[in-house]
Amino acid sequence: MTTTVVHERIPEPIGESKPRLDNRKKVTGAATYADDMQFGSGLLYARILHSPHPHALIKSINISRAKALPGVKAVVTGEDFPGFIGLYLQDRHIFCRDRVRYVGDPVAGVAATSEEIAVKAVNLIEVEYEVLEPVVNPEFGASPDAPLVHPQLSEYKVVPFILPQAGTNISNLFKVRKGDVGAAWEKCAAIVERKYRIPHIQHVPIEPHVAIAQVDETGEVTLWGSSQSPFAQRNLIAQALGISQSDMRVVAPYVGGGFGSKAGVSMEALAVAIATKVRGRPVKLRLTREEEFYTAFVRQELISYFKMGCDKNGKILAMENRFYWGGGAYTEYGVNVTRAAGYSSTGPYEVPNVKTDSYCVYTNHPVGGPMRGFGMPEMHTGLEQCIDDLAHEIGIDPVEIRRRNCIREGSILVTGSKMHPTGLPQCIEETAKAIQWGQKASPSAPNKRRGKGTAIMWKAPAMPPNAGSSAWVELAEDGTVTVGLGGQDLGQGTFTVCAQMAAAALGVPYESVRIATPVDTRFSPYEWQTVASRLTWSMGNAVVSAAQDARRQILDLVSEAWGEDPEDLDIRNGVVVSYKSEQEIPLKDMVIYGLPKPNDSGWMGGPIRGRGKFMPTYVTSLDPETGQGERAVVHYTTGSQSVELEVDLDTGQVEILRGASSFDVGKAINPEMVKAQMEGGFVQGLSSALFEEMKMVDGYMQNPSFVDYRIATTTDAPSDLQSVIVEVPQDDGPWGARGIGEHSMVATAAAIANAIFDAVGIRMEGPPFSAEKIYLAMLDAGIVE
Amino acid sequence: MKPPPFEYYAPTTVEEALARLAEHGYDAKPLAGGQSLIPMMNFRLAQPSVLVDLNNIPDLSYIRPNEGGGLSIGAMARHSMVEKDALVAERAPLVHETMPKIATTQIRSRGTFGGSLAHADPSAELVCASVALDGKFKVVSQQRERWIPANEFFLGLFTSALEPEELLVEIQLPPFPKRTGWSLMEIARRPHDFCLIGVAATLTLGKKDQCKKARLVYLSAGDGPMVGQQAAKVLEGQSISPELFEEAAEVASSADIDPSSDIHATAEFRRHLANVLTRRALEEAYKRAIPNI
Ligand SMILES: Cc1cc2nc3c(=O)[nH]c(=O)nc-3n(C[C@H](O)[C@H](O)[C@H](O)COP(=O)(O)OP(=O)(O)OC[C@H]3O[C@@H](n4cnc5c(N)ncnc54)[C@H](O)[C@@H]3O)c2cc1C
Repeated sequence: MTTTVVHERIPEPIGESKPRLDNRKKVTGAATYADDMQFGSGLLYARILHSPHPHALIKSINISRAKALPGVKAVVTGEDFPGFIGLYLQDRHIFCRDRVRYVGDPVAGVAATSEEIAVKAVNLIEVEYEVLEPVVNPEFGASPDAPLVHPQLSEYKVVPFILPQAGTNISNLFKVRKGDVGAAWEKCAAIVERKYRIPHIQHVPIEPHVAIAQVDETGEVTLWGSSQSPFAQRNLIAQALGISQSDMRVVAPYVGGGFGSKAGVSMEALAVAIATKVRGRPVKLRLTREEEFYTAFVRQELISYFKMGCDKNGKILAMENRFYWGGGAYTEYGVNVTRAAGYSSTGPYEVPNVKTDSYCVYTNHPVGGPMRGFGMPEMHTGLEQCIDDLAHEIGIDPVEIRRRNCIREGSILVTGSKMHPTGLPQCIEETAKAIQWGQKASPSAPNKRRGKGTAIMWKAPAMPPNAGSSAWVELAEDGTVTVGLGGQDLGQGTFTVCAQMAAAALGVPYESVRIATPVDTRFSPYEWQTVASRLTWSMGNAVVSAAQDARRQILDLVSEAWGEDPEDLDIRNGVVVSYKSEQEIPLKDMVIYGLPKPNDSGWMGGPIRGRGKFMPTYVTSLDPETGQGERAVVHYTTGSQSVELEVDLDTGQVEILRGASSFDVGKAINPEMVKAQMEGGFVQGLSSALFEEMKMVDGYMQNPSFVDYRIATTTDAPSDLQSVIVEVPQDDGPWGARGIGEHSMVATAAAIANAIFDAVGIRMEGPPFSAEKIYLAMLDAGIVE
Repeated sequence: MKPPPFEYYAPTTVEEALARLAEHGYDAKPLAGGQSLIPMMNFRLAQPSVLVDLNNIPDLSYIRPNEGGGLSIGAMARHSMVEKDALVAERAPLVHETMPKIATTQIRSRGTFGGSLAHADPSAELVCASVALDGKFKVVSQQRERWIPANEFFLGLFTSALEPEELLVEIQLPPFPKRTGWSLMEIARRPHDFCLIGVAATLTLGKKDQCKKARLVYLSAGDGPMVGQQAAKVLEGQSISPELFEEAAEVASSADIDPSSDIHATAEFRRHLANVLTRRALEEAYKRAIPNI
């Protein structure tokens, strides 16, 4: 392990709820977002012509009228860009070439001197289509009867751990074969079998996607954008254009929310492609909210089948799960969701016999991408309801069945790996305590019923085995510290946490640390992507190691100057001190100009710059037939959530009264920000449980605006939201830390579903649990009228 | 999306505004708080080529007492102003109770009383409340001034009796009748959304505590404010009982309203909710009528 920094003594300001670094800038409006950047009068505006059909062949495109419009500087189509693009599976052209695969698929692009002219020009492009039958259901899509969305699937370039099935719509199949499921069923005292359906939802960040691209006369490309993944964008776009990564520069200013939608590459490639045709001029593409809904990443839909059985003590003996992930038109990124769901398919339980088939299926729906939880909320929503049903079936309390089966340190996991130390059992106790599990309060009105529900979760960073981070630490004349890093602050507070870690590892006050922003691939150190809840852990390790490197340089210099052993020296509060001689010198007096040699014989030292990196080195591959392997992932964050709610028997309305979350974050570097993640995740989970759904009819979205696509706002969040931090250290995390960003919405929908069941005894196939659905289910079950 | 291009005028007097409207006729629209008009333009549901902004006309924003106990509200009085007004709370308790149910704080700080009525959205609380309260609307053009009773003002979906060159300038609410209780209830996906169904109710008790008069006006229940005429017939003259309210709810939800299905709820579910809300609203109105006895 490269940088194990679990110290006995936790230095300041680790574990302190320091104020966010960007507070002042954001509150005063000083923070610059991509759309705020000024490019002068040379700026061109891009608009995109999108496919109006879910599935069709492009017969012809006529751009001549658009090109002739005064003010139009470029009109591009798929003809111009033959290359493929994609993170794990290169299945996407920047612009469609022969076929459109979803309503919103980019067919042509325009750059013009104003947005208005660009819109006019787009309307002048004539496209002739031959409409094809769309695939709108992933389960059907996986069958041999389905029309093919990507007939050339077998020819696409793909990373080794993704397994497309030639001649089908299945772009990845992840299998688990562990123990003997067939033989286990007869030993079970109770078995439940369930089907769930989770609809597409979307990230809906406040700030829509925006990208500005410029290609200079020598072919060097600069992209400014609202981005979670500047380095991944550099790599993928450079590959697609056939240029060097070093000639592709991505600058990423403040981001107004991402939740996964700004990871990988999506609309940015369009802006760059158009910019190649108008060299020298910056080209800006800014999505409207409607375009966000139609063309940005969405969360996969999921049809899941669970079968699970336990013995008479509630010990789970077997699980057999089938997942049909509706990955949408392109699954370049989504294929890895399928894989993550596969290697996590038992949920946080130790199950000796497992059979899982997790299919990623092309459909003619919008493109499935990464979204907070990366498949885990969708999977857990079904799985955790099933666990409750199993508990009821065998007559054991739902919390108790989780206690008896949840993973612990040393548990053999679904992939055959061994579980590292985990605080999951403690999290279960914390949420049970917070929600007063077992005590039933009476409802607030005679026509209401109260219920409590709980659900637990696990999630690993879903990423390539060797996703890396790097960082540097520089000191200025006044002893202040600037940290260079390549991850992005999406509002989750990673800059603050990294500043805290740099301060702690170096020995300076938090207030003297800055982050080198904006992230710029030309000057910032490499970072794979801001996804997978991996930054605190991975980038944090790199920052700590850079700070330690700087510290070592400083102490070596001082020890030489003072003729002391570096072991006797320390940096406290920005001052180098000797515990032996009790000498001291402030950093500002030495970090740039060095120190004089004795006897006026010259100088030594020089500007201090520490370097650090981190990459996990121990993840192994998994057997394609059994999904078994030595170590599937870097680690799992675990946790538990509980809710208390009321259902109105007359109307089916649900009111969430209370929520409780507890997660094992290893070490909370900044406890208030950890709690903020727990609360925010809870509310987003609540939103997906009660409100959110992209209503698709025959491949067309019915609700592409906030008028009809509803998300929870502050008024929908319960005022009583408890968050309890559990800390069982991660062996290779900075001070034991691991991620929490995504985990906090994984179990919420399931906990709400379980609480609804507790209140009124009904189950639904999937969210959103609208009043009407609940009322109809109560009618069906004979609970009302 | 952004609206298509338009011409913009910002008159400072009603006369000037009326002149602009007369000049441009069907191509023009008055702009009040813009909380409905601008979204309609963004969605291309409205495409006026001229906007006549009323926000610089100070004379249209007021709340005044009328002799005899009623109220006059200027068309440009913001929702937030009406919401916080003590006189409204005293003289028009139904309106007072309704205001916080309209959208969110942000929208109420821009949206106007008159704009909401002129917009004639059958889902708007004030549309139904004004009918339930027998309000009347002062409408002016360069040529004439006329008063239109609320129950004749709303002609259909987003359609009112306003002619293109006319402005709604004032809303009068009569004195709130004695021995009368009120209620406005609605059910929405989220509390601040336009409701799936709602009802504005008033219930006046007679000497023997029987129902003397009842008004039920439903939101999101048809092409306009849907008046529960048959339900009122069931109620009027009868002595109050849970069974009576149930019967009225049954009649209202099956015969008086005509809700449609959309992606948020089916028509059947809306009828069911109307039934539930009618009972609840009548019970609340009844409880409020009692202390006045
Ligand atoms: C997200 C959102 C949620 C909302 N939720 C609700 C809700 O729950 N309930 C609700 O009732 N409303 C709701 N609204 C609408 C809001 O209340 C509006 O303020 C109101 O409907 C219109 O008022 P306005 O002043 O904004 O009018 P505008 O939008 O400016 O105008 C609306 C229409 O009325 C015309 N008009 C305006 N003033 C006059 C006048 N004096 N004379 C003649 N014509 C005029 C305009 O030409 C236009 O056609 C919501 C709005 C939004 C954006």
